[in-house]
Amino acid sequence: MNEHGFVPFSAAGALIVILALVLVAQASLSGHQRSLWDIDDASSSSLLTKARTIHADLQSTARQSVYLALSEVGKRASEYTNTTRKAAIESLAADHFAERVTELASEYVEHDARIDLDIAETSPPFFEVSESEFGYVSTLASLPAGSRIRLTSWDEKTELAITFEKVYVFVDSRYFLLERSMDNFLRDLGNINSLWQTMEYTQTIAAGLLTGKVELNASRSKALFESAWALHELKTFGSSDYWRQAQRLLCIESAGAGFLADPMQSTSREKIYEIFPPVPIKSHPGLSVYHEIRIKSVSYKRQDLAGMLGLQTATPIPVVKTGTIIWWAQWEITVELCDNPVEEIFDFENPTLPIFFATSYVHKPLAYRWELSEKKFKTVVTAFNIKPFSVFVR
Amino acid sequence: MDKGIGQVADILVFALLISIAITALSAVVLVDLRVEVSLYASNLAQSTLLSFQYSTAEQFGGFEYQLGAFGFEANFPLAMESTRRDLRYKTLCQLIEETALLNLRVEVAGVAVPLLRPNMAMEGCLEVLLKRVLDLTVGGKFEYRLLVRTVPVDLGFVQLIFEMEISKLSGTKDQMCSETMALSLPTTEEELMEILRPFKSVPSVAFDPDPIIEVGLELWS
Repeated sequence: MNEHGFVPFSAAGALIVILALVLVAQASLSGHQRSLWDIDDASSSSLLTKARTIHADLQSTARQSVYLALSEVGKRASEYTNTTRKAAIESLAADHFAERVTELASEYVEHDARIDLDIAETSPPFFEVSESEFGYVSTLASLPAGSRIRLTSWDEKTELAITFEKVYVFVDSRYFLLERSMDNFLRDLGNINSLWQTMEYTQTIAAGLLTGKVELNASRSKALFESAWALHELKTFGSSDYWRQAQRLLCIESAGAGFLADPMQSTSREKIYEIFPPVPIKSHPGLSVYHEIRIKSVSYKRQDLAGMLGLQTATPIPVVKTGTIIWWAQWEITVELCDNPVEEIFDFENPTLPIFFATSYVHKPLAYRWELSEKKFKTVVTAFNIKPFSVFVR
Repeated sequence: MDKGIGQVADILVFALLISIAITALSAVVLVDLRVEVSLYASNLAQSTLLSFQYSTAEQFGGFEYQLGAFGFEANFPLAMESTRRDLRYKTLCQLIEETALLNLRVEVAGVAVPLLRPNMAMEGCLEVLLKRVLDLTVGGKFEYRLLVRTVPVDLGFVQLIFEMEISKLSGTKDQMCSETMALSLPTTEEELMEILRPFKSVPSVAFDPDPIIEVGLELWS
């Protein structure tokens, strides 16, 4: 046991400590270098994230501009053709966006001096709206070439620029569905007369021909006309203005209950619908309906010979072959309205537009309002019977 | 005997020196690890904020709230349906912007003015949604605090303000990072003045609104 090691333990330990210290120094140096790189990297990454969030915020601004444009144009839909209406939406959205972006450019800088929103002023922004699935709106906002978001790091070592020339935005409002539905309603407006005629004829058969007396009643014709209107709404929009219908059916107006007679003047009623749209009768396509039809007068004009001579009796038509007489009466009913009727539909399923209302903001559904030009609606009822009958106006 | 003592002393010195070497090396490793975690947290926070811009509420189970009927509780089914606001296609950032816009509070001399708040439920629903999202994205790794704040009008004695805080913090922790993003409040000077009008606080001269919403996400470990 008289053997000796190569070096004493303490000498080996000292050597290890020296090696460890060298390693620590090396690691610290490389760590410092890596930290510098990491800081640069983090700074670049942070700048890139900031640029992307600003890009997305501008997208959001573009969407808000389309919301406003849709809201404004939708309320005056009947003032445009389909082509000019789309152009008006695009133009208004571009105006709102241009105004907003100019303000935002300075506001971003106030909050973060690294940001520079460089919107080229060679031409105004251009918006193009198109139909997306289920009648929603897609928008492509085009800014002048050269528009970009530029960011500079605090140490001004890193500079980043991302282009902001084309922005795609999805708008969660079914404008195109509303437009198409209203087009269908207007195209088939004649259906109201057909439905009204059918209902008048059924009433005539039921109440008149069996008893020999056909009574032409203005209140009834008014109610039947309004029911025909509601049925046409139901067929086209999947709903009708049933609150208004219910109000009429309850005869609130004729009951003379002053405080209930017109609880919602048309304007305020419309505003209430804008915020609290009635639930659609059918879940598809999910539209709420408002209408304003104020009937001024209902008039009847006999078109058969006896009637034209001012007689209440129907016109007898002898059938020579059988020797019998068929009694014929025909009359035209005209409903005249006080004002142009208003038809308005709301995207009940998407109450998504943050719009200023009174003294606060609320989410409203997009409205599509149409003022019809027709103030007179006519239908003709023809009745035949083998027994004599009379027609009189009550 | 002396030789034996010398050997023991030699071994003890050796052990001491080895300990010093290990301590020096481990300190370097620990410092490095903390920097790594901090960087990771920072990247995660940035990605999370960025995802708010592009993720829709629908991806996290949807978003809807009930509009208060301006002071009346609408409890019958038809009215409930009419006051329901389904905003599933909006991005999380849009929801933050619109919640702030629809829930601006008026403070006079630092005291909140009681108002009818028809959109109050939206704020609560957003808090629930954002908490769900943060639990999913960062909750498994870090504790967090999300702060949303905007003061679009500050006239000294009267302010229009919105603040929201969502957090999951327990006990004393180390803050790993704090990342912010700026959103804009979709409003105009005229509309802000209309909100102030009932309080007779509309300034006689034009004022410069500041419609930027600051959204900050802190991650703690």
